[in-house]
Amino acid sequence: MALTLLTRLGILLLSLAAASLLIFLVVQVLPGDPAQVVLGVNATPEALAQLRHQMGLDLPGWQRYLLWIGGVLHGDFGTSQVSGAPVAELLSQKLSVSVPLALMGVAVSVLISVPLGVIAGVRYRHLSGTMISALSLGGIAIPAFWAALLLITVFAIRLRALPAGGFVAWSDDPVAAFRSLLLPAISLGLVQGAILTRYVRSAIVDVLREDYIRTARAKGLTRWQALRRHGFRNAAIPVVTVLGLQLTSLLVGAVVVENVFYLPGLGRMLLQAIGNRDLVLIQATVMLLTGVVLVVNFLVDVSYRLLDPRIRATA
Amino acid sequence: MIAGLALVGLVIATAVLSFAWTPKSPTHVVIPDRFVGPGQRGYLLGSDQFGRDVLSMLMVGARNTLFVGIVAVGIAAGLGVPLGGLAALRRGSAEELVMRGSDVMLAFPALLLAILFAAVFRPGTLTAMVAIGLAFTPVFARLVRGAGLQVMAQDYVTAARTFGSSPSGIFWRHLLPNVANVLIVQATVAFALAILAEAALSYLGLGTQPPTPSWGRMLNEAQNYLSRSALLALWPGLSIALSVLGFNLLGDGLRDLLDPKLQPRESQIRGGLN
Amino acid sequence: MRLMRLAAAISAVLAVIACSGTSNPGSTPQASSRSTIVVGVTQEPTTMDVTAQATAAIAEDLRDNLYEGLVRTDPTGKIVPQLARSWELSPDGKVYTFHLVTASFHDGSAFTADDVKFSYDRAMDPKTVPANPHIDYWAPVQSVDVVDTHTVKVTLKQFSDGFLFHMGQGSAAIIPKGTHLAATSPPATNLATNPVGTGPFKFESWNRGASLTLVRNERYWGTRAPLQKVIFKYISDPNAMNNALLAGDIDVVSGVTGPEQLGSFLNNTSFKVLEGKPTGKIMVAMNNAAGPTRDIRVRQAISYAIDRKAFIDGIQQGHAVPIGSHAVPNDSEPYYVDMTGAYKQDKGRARLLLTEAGYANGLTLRTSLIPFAYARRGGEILASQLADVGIRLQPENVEFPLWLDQTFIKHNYDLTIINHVEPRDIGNYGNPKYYWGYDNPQVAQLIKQADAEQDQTKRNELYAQIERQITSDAVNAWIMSPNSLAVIKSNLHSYPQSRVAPSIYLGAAYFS
Repeated sequence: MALTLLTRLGILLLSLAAASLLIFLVVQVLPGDPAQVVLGVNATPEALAQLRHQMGLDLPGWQRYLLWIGGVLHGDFGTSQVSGAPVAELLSQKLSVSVPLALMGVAVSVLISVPLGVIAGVRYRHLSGTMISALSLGGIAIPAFWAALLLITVFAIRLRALPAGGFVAWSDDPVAAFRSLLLPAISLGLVQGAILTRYVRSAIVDVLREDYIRTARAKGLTRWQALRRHGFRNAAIPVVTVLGLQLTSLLVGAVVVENVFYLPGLGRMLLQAIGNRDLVLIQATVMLLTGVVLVVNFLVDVSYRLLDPRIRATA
Repeated sequence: MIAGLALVGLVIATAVLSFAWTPKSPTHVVIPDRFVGPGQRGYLLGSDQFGRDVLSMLMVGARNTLFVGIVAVGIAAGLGVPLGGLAALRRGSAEELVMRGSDVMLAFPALLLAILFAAVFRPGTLTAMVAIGLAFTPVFARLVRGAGLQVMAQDYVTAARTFGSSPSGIFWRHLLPNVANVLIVQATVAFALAILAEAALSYLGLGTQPPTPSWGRMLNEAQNYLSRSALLALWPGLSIALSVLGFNLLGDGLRDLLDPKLQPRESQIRGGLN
Repeated sequence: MRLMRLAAAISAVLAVIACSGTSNPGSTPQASSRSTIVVGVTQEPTTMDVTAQATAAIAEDLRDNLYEGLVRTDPTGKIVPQLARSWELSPDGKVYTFHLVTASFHDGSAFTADDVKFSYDRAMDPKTVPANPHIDYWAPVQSVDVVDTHTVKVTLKQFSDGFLFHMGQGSAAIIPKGTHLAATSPPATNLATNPVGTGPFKFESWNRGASLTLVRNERYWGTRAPLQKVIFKYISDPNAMNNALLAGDIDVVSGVTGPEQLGSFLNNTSFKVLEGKPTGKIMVAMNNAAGPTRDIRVRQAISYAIDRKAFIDGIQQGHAVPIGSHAVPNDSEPYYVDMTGAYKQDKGRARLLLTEAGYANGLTLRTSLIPFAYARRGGEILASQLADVGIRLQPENVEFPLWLDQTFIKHNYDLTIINHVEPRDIGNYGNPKYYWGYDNPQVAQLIKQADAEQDQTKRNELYAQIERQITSDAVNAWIMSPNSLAVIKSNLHSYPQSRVAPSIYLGAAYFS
């Protein structure tokens, strides 16, 4: 067991290293000169050369890579080339928006999808099941920004109950911060919820076909009772996997909603950083995301092996 | 499923027709004819903010929609199927590599990939769909591996191997045909998702570039003109919704039609871009 | 079922929180009071140091509010005294003597002539780090000398009409002589995160990606500002901006990028739409040095193919004026001459010219378009109009860094649609290395002459000659100058109606 753990850890570290190299390469390939972007159209060649030197852009590629990695290992994530602010500070600011937003979005989607998906699954061939299924199909076809605009028109403009956008820092006013994330989270959650409903439904349907459910029903339990006793836990596994995926993908994937609500989140910052050719910031952000994904995968993997002895056996 | 076939068929038919004929030119700008209502002055569904005929734009846009789906699914399947097959056939380190790689890709936001691609290779439909296709690849890889493992466990496959069938022979003759039904279903789902992805990317300006008509871009531009004409947002939105619905229904129907016993757990199928 | 009950409970809690309080939490607690203003701005600055930022983003927010210069340009483009309450010019036009006001910086230090010398010397010096992006503004300057604590003398190499105008811009703001480099990489001054000026407002905080907050300077040398607090909110999406105004989160939409959405505000008595003087030159810039556009007939054909009204109506919904040369009818360019009659749309003539040039079967022109609405939408309109005369437009949608690299630096383009927002930049036509590649020594000579001409009438006539020449050479195809547009709450007063100077001056604004 310990051996597999160590192997998994080793693989994690290798993946991180490989990812960092890949990210570095991709960022280098970005056409355009960051110094030119900072100095603008009136820049003299001398000023450009000077700034490029200060940004470290005239060093050879491998040196810049090692400098970056070395810095990261020491906890120094560098400074943004465009704004001069430390990257770590920028990242933590944006994360304080994007992480709660992603969590709230997933929470909303769970609140929607679990009850609906279970009903749809249990009433597989009945009218209610098909209707919910159809509804979820409709929900998938609606882009998140449509939902966002609708919510803004109703709740922010007509009812003035919630802000149309913007973000108040958690440290300034936690209630206001929560409220400013509410509409965005619902916009995200509605669409994700529709998708998740289908997963929950199909997970329930699959579980209902399993032998142990048939046995339970043969013993006289109703579908609901059989599910409660045996099914839900098993149905939960694939759903939880998808939830994890949704969570990580929402960190950047919420960029569309962030734009509509002008939230200072990770996705929007990344988009601007790419537009400004802020190479240091781009590298750091993408590396952070990849790192999070890899670590989360590692943890999920380990927990699978701990939880389900069958997987352990086939490892 | 019939409904799905009908909707998809409509999209394909419109796209094909648009090569031969459209009521008016989809790119000709006639400013004095802006925001004309449906049915007036020869604009069957009305005209947009530049006086272009909405119906013609929708028709040509159908071409773009199909293109989007074909490229994305083509790449995803074209890369994912061989990779998944490799994983199922070889096992061991090859499988490990494929699965780890697909783990990372799966959780890597497809949108992020599309943004980076657009910055490196210039924004455009092709760039965006290659990115989306790459993002969907691990789904196909996993699917084929999962189904492949089941197939490999069958007796006739073991028999074939004992008699010296080459791995590629097994792949083509036994693995692929038995996986095909699941693949087709997944392809339709992915098609639908690719269409939505293009709409989202158009919002960020990274999807289909002007002047090529695109439903996603039409929808996004219509947002700005909601106060002038709410209908402008309706037509492309409806088109997107109906085609997505069509592909999803088709997929559902196909899955119900084809042998359910050989399905891997449906819950392994990934979806969702947001 | 337990799950359902849990879900219901959570929803109930959420509903309670959502409905708690009817005030809008998107704005700060004092927004409902009349002494704070929240202004929606599209572009966020990347630094607080006005002498280190290339774009107008920082000047918009801080010039005239926080930073001040010897002079400033008022909303319609006239030069107006600021830190220099008066000045004299020597008869030969080479020496300006500025008499300064008594003022102090936000950090308490006194404002004196030494600060002017420090600021200007720093801006002029090519070795300064970080470099002033508009170092060319000081090209005519020979030396800056302190006469006494409140008098400073600027000696020019020769009279320059543009000099005083440029000293009213953002990058010519006066900074304290104690400004030093902070220990950052890339290097920046201490002003980059903590701006210090002499203006009616001083810096409070900068929440990157979200907002910038200023508070009233109680020790301001001039008239105290009526408003106590200013918050700039950065909202790049025009829909979001409008929603924010409608929802009451902001009080002003400072620069309307989507005039098509004015409809929701025009008939609404809670809001006022401000339309002011036109500013900026939106044009189809052409490569005069390479490619098919090297031929003047091709450029003229393009000029004849264009119908300006389509652009004005299609992009700006009528809120723009057509222009026929590189000048705009506002107070910053008093030499403006109406050249719109030079190339009235004539598709037949355009086709004829193309045939003469050898393109009877049509040609394809690569057009780079940056992600601004006027460029992307303009591209669609241009494509249609050029198609009518046999020119196929090949659009290349690029982000700004790529545009800088490919179009501006490497001159790798045929056409591009661009808005030149800087006033008085007609001097670029004297620079053959500028991305248009226009090389006309006569024009270059005229430009030098005009800038050195002290007599206003003679000067305007020289510039008029330049305008006529570049139009007849069809260097570029000028389309329109968009009118300044803003939407404000109807109880807000003394908000700048025009935005010829980029600065959103709020020193006189108040709520009734």
